Amino acid sequence: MSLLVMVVLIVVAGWLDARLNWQPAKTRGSAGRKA
Amino acid sequence: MITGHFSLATGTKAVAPRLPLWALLLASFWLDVIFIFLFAAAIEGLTQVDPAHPAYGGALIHAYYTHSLVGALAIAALTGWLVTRWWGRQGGLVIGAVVFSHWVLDLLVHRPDLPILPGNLGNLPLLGLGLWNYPWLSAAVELAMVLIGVYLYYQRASQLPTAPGDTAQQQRRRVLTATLTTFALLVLLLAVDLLAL
Repeated sequence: MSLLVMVVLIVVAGWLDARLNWQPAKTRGSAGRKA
Repeated sequence: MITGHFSLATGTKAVAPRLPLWALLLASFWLDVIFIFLFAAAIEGLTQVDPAHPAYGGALIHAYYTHSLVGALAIAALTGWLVTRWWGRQGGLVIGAVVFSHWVLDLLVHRPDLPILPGNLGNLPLLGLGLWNYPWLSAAVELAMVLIGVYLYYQRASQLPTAPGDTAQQQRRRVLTATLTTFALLVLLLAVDLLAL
């Protein structure tokens, strides 16, 4: 049961978080392109 | 301490807002994810202090690789290094730190069952401060971690600019939905863990 709730937490909370306007983390590639 | 691990990951958004929450949540649980595979392969194991009555905090973990101090440090360093490909050096450092935080929190609650070296090499003393011997105190610590983690998340999310095409009200609703859903799921997880379901 715990494992099920954990999976739901990661998927649902992760999805709701992704809908917010966080700036994506800079990757090496994108930093290079900006430079 | 399952809920405590996830709460720490949620609060980490305050210092690393650009890392996706799913990645932080997974990182906080990463040692146990590897443990599950080693458990299935009968390399690591789990027993109950009182096998007749499995209860919250009643586990003794025999995870001499994933949950050894050096093993956890190695897994954290390797995972942090791997994710630099996507999230840069700073992201890798944060993910690595969150992976290792699992061992630190386990040290707080576990009875002495955490080795220093992989495979308990040298038969050094096993570590664990044993907060699980006081289940309600341990649960109170986890609940406090939920409240702090979710508060930090909400505080940081509230500062976000409105997404293009959204009104301020829509943005506020999105922040509240994400925060309250995460809070509810963390409390549910703690309840399930407390009831040993």
